[in-house]
Amino acid sequence: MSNPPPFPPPNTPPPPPGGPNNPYGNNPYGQNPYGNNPYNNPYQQNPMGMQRDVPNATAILVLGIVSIVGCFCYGIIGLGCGIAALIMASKAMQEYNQNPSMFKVSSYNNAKAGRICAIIGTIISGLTSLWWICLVVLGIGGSYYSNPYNW
Amino acid sequence: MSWIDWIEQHLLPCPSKSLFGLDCPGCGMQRSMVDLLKGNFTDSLKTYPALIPILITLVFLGLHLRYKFKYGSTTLQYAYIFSMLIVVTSYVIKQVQFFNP
Repeated sequence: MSNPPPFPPPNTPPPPPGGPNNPYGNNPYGQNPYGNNPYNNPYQQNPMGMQRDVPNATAILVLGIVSIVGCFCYGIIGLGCGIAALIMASKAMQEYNQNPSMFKVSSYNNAKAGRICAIIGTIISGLTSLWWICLVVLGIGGSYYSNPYNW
Repeated sequence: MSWIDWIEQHLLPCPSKSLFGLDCPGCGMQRSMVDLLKGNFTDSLKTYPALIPILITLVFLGLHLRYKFKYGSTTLQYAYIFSMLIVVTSYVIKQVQFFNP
């Protein structure tokens, strides 16, 4: 038999459809009758058992939850953790959306939960920071500082 | 329990409280933690109601990362939202009491 090999090496042109040696006759789609070789482009297809974690999923979850302490120290810790988690999460989501079948669902859920926590943490720490900036700018704090009844 | 006494005498001062005399949303957490270490759950809840939910969330985060529960991430998300609601609510109540004694 002079069949073309089932998995032609990448970058070789597919055999001409309906050639004199093709026992399958004309291919109406004008493509390789064997479909795309999954090994040609590992970033587009998911060979079995090759699922991996969404990048930084654990870090996103941990940072998102640590942003709960964002209220301390004028919200600096929460803003830092929250924004770091958001940046990592947006990258991870981009990568996941390009090819969802490549990644483990559990790690995707971790990243998603971490992202939501990070959003809440960032908003609340941001509000806390704004509140302290207002206090400093308006000079409210000083009057309370000097008033012994407010301690 | 000497080490708890030592912690009680070495609490970190809150910068916003010492600078402006106003509580920050995390003020009371260390006192609440000392109460909890002494075993006074009620005092701990009164001083800083969000401490116990936050601790539970953090412990559950560790367990989830170790054992990978099926619905762990969703549970964590709701636990986090719950703790945050308590933090915000208790802070607002504290401020209202502070400005309208």
